[in-house]
Amino acid sequence: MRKVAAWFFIVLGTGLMGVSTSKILMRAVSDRRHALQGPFGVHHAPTGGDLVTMAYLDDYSKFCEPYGYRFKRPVDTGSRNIDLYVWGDSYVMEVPDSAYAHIDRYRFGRRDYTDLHYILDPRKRNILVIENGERFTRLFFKYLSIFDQVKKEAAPAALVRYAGFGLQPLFNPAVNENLEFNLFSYNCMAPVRRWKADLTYGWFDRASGDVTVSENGQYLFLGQTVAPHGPLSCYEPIEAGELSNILTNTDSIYLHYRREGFDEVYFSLIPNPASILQPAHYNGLIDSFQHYAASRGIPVIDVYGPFSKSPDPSGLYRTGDTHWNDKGLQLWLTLVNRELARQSAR
Amino acid sequence: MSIVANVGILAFFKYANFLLRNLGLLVHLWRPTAHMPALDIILPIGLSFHTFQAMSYTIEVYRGKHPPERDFIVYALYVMFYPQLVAGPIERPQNVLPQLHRYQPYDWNQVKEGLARMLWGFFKKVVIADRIALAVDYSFSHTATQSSLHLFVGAVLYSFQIYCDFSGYCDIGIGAARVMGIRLMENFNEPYGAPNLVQFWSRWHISLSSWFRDYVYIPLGGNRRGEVCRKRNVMVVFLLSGLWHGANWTFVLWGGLHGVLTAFTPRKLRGGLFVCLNFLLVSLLWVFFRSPGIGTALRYLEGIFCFRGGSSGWGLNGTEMVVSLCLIAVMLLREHCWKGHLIGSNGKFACYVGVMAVVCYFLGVFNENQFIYFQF
Repeated sequence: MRKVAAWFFIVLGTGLMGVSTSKILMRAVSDRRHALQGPFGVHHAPTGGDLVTMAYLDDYSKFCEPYGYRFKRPVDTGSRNIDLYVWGDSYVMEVPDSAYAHIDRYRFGRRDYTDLHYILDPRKRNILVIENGERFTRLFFKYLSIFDQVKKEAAPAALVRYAGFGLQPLFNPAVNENLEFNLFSYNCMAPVRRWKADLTYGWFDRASGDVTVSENGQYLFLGQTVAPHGPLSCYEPIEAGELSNILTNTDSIYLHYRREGFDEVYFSLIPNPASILQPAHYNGLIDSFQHYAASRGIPVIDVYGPFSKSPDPSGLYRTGDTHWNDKGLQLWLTLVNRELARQSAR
Repeated sequence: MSIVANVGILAFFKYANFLLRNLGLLVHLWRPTAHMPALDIILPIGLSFHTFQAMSYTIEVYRGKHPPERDFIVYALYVMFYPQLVAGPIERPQNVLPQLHRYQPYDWNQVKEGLARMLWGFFKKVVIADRIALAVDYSFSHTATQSSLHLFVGAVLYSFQIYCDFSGYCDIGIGAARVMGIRLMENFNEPYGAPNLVQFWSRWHISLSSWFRDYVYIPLGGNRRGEVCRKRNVMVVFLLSGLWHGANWTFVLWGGLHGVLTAFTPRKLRGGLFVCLNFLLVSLLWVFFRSPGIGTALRYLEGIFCFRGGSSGWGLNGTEMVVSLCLIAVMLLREHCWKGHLIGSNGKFACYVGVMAVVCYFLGVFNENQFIYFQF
């Protein structure tokens, strides 16, 4: 019996570790679990906001704000002569092609999920927009892994050197998060998590888990973005060496895609909610980035400027979510469409 | 060869960028436009710990105090024994290697003792250290605006945070090893109950202190060549100890200050008053350890000693502050009154596990705070 138990735990432990350290297996498990509704499904409260889901608060009505993206067709006065490629994340993944101006063809690739392959058409303007949520910026620009994910359609695997000799898909650096997901993130455990979350919020005025209540008590922030240290933090001062590496890699990315044949490559960093709504300790990453880009003639779609100068910045983000609301997104779309109009007129 | 290789690995991974950064500052003095590149080095996990453990093997074998290990697997297990791989205790071959050669039969009492100790370590880490970290982080990130009292409390709380964090890790490591039948050395013995710094260092991170004592302090002459030599040796040990902790001038200064105070303060101080004074001294010195730069640390200390008013936030609400202080008191009392972890009765053990698991879950702060000593 003891031997059976020992082998059971060895096999279970090895299996869990194997799944949690593999991107491919983890994706399969995650997709399947998200589709499940029963006790082994994943706790999810899609209407409230991702941080509301993560915080497991029962009494979260204060932080709930439903999705409210409304996409409308922009006024196209000119021709549809742009092939637009957007390499981005969850901030812009829901934007349909009909929301962009002057485009003939639109392709979107989501970082870490779907690669973006391009076929450049010399008869049209080929535009690449590289959008990044601020919290991923330091990790994104640390390496040039974008070259493996955003490349010519059917391009040979020539740039494998940036992806850990081609083994990268096998390994998943988010082992802790994955282990937690595989061990504890089940619908059947949600009630216990809610008790804890309610207790923490009721007694200590804090959200539990990796969620933080803002200093004015009005918003939820992702804890790692307001932590004093860590790669996702917008409060940790950035050392000169790291900043220099980010800027050098920005140069490399810009030059690479211009040489590939894109008519223009835009960078757009979307500020974390905390960078705008609780900016006292903000490390100024976006400002530094945009100053450098301007000095090098690299175009940016600057939402940080309008956001930080907005008379009502609280109206730009969802209260219980890591993302902006419709107003924030519309502002970004307006800026993108303005650039597309300029490009179309060339 | 072995020592050179170990020190070389440590120097490259841990100190190369520190050296380049400081060289860059020097070069900058006469050529302001010069740029010293930084190497993109990933520090191997627990490097400082397992290189020191490997060196202790080499030295003990060289001195003839331990026979060379002929089984490579056993040697590799000694250097990379996973429960203490990341943050110690830094073991000696005399203690661990014979145990690794012995057959370890299954012993339920050992398993219980190990699991109970692991739970105690988790409690110290997730319930106390990570909770206090919220207040400490708040103090250290609001240095300019907080009142002297709040900054002082932040520094004192950091003393408990780092203790619960580091000793909590050691409890988990020692407990995990115990489950497998291996008995590792103790790394802490009520350090904040020490009346002077010499006593403090014989109770804090014992495995590192004794490593430096046996392999640096005594070979340098210890206290056998007069008072001046003793003071010099103490300084060397503490500066090295500071540098061991991290490639930053804050650690060097922290070690240096400990060295000066250890060398020049009397060693025969006793009594409750000196325990309090020593604790306050250690707490103030931790400010250098916690701060990202010497300037930040000096501003923090200036904030404490200028006796100013300021904002009154703790980073925790009143209830949580009281809960934190109670938890610290419980921890100190438990470690003072009951040092063991073995619970004989299975029923009592089950109750203990149940209560601790519930407490750790419901009172634990799970915000992905790494163990502080993981960075070393």
